[in-house]
Amino acid sequence: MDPGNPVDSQAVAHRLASVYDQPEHPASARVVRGAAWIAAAYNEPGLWLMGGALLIALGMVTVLLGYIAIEGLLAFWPREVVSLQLETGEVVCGEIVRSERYVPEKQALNELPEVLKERAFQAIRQQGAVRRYLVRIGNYELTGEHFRWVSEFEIAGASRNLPSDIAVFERRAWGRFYGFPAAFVVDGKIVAEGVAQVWQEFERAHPQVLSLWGELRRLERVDLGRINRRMEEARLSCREVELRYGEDSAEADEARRRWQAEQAALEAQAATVEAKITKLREEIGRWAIQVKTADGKEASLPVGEIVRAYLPNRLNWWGKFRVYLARLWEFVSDEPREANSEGGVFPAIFGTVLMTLLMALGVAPFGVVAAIYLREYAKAGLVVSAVRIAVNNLAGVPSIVFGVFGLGFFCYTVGASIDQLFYAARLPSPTFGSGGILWASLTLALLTLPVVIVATEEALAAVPNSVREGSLACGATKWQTIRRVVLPQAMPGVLTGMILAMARGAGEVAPLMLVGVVKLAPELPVDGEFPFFHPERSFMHLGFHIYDLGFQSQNAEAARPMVFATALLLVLIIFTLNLAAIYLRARLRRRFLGARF
Amino acid sequence: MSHASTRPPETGSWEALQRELFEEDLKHAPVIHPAVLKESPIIEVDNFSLWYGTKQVLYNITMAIPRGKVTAIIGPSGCGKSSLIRSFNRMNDLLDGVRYEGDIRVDGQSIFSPSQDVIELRKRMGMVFQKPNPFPMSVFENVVYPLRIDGVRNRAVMEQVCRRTLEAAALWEEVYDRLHKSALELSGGQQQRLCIARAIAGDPEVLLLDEPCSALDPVATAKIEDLFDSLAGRYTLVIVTHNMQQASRVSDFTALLYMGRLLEFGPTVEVFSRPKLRTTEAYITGRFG
Repeated sequence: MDPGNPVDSQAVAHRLASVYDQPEHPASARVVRGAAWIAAAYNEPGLWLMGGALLIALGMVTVLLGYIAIEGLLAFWPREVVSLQLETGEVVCGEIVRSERYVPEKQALNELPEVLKERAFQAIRQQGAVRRYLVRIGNYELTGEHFRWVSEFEIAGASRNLPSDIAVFERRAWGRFYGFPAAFVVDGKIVAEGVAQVWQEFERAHPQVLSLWGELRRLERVDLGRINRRMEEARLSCREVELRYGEDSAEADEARRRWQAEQAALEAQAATVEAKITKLREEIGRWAIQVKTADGKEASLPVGEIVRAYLPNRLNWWGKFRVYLARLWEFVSDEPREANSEGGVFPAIFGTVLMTLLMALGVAPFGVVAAIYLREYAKAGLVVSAVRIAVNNLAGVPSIVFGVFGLGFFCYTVGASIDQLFYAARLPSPTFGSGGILWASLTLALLTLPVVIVATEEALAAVPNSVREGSLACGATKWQTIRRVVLPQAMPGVLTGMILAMARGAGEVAPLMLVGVVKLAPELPVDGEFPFFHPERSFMHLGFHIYDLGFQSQNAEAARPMVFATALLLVLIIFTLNLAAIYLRARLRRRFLGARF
Repeated sequence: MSHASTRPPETGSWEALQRELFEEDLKHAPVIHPAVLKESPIIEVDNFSLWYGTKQVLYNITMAIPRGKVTAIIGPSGCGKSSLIRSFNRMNDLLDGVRYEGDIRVDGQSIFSPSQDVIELRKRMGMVFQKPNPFPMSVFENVVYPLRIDGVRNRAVMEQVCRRTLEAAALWEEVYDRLHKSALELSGGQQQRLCIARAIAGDPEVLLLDEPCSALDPVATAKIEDLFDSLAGRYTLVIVTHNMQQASRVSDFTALLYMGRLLEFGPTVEVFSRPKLRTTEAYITGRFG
């Protein structure tokens, strides 16, 4: 409004006067008007909005977790194996993984044989699309693929039968094999024919072969591994002498001689172990099972290669449940095989839990000490405020940046220095100078530090000053007061911070990819070899495992159920870790605070 | 709290009359009864003034707390009683922007001298606060806290001290069977007696009690007042209270503080029966405050 306009300002004055001069509303009028306003006054629309937002958020989380839980839990359930007779005369046999409706491309339709084209057109005419099934056909060495799409119109008539004699073989390599057991072979001689007899023989021989296989693996891993490590140690001690006295010195010559002697002794040992291994292999190779596939091809499967076998269409509910439990147990307790798409994730579980606990151990002292300084010692002022803002901002730094920092600082700076000082003989291959579980834990500790600092500061601030005064009046020093009175009382709050930090840290993947997580770790970071804990070793992590299965796997369809199962497992592990921390916090609360009226 | 003379007097109001009385009394203040001067002093306050930031809360206080006696410091809210008592063991050091002039001496030693160890000073003076502040630990650990911070490890010594002090604080009978339960489960009165036990566990010379009963019910208050009688012979007690009946019941000497100034200080009987200043009379008869 133009202030210079006298008419306008007069109008405003008039309106204001009319507002102020209005007589007060009679009581009844107020009630009526109030009734119309009451919803807004009590924030009812807002209540609906807020409640609705919460409901939507909770609903989405529930749906996500439910989907992961269902898919993850069903991943190991043994399916029936169907045999499909195609119009072309082919027989497709395998597990139907899923089905979908689709419209084939024009060119693909035109290239179809006449019989099929007619059927396809009819299906499209009637239903607007064609149904197709994804069948896990296995038998990779014969077919060259693990999965195959079969369209409804390709299947002859309604021929979809469940052959009761078909068997599923889960193997150590090449994926699953579907076929009819034809004969059982021992030492090249057929000892049984016919499904029932073959299966009886197989079930008798399999546990024995599995234990032989276990023995073989132990020899390869433990015994040969130990000999290899000794060879490496001998080489390193020789190298150390060379580094200390120079390569041309008499001491170095002496060391080289000793090394060669030791090397010869160790090679002899290795040769005996290898002889044993060869013998075991031959022993295991005695048993084989001859299988005929649904399309009439024959194959011989060595029993030693078979992890698990069952007759899916003969299993009742309990039998299926046993297969399910066996697979589930393998999943949580065994090592992965077939590029992680089969087998277990135990190393990843171990790595995730160990890394999270190490991270908690790393972040707790740093965070608490920093918070104590900020809250109890530092004089409030510009600097402290700036530090506080910086700490809060640190929580917002993208995690991959922490990964880059961890790689640059821990691996390439600290780790490289450690290598130069203590592991010079091993150079140029790095020991601490590359990613490892210690560096990964410390990187995540840095990442979660702000969470712990903020939570601890809040917990310290919540301790009443009267308690501090009481302690100081007893003649306690400031440090005694903090250690004996303030910190115990703030402990539940500190643990809340730790819970938040662990929840964040355990699920983090991006920074780990730079500082020590690998797709397949040959050894666990903790084992029976001195010094039992190897902080420099790279490790596996469930979060990275999910990424690897979902996006890096060559056999993506086979890895799909594993993605869900692994995701479910990761959620459960984080949940369990949090539950443990919450339980600890509740115990501390009971101990320090007692019942509060 | 602002200076009385900076505000223009409003005639005809009760506040104005009170201010007038006070202005006149100030010309004579502080009135110190001769009986006080005969006592041997343990804490001597010498022309002591205190500021919180720019706000002055104590004005030139000079008084001597008699050794082994119970001294009550009374006065209306905000008169500076707590600030004074907190100066005795330098608890005011913890606050930002505190400034003082003058001196306080304990056994003739200035507590502000650089050679004075604050921790040592506080160990000589047990302090009990307005709100019970037991630590979040067991009853036993609360009582032996002063021993713990002195590095005492001997369990037998601690148990002995715990029992002796809890008995002295008239709490033993009530808690002997739950010494190792959380102290926060005790009632308010029990918590306050526990704080008194904790204060005397360190074997101090002086007990500073900052309105120790103001957060308690009458029954708990009565128990604690009884306790003062039994403690009186062994320690010098300084009690800050705004409860005149309490002051008259438990103390040997009474000091009245008003607007940061010491008005009258004398034997409790004399101060309560024959006050020398009219402000004192008005205050103890409950006409203001």
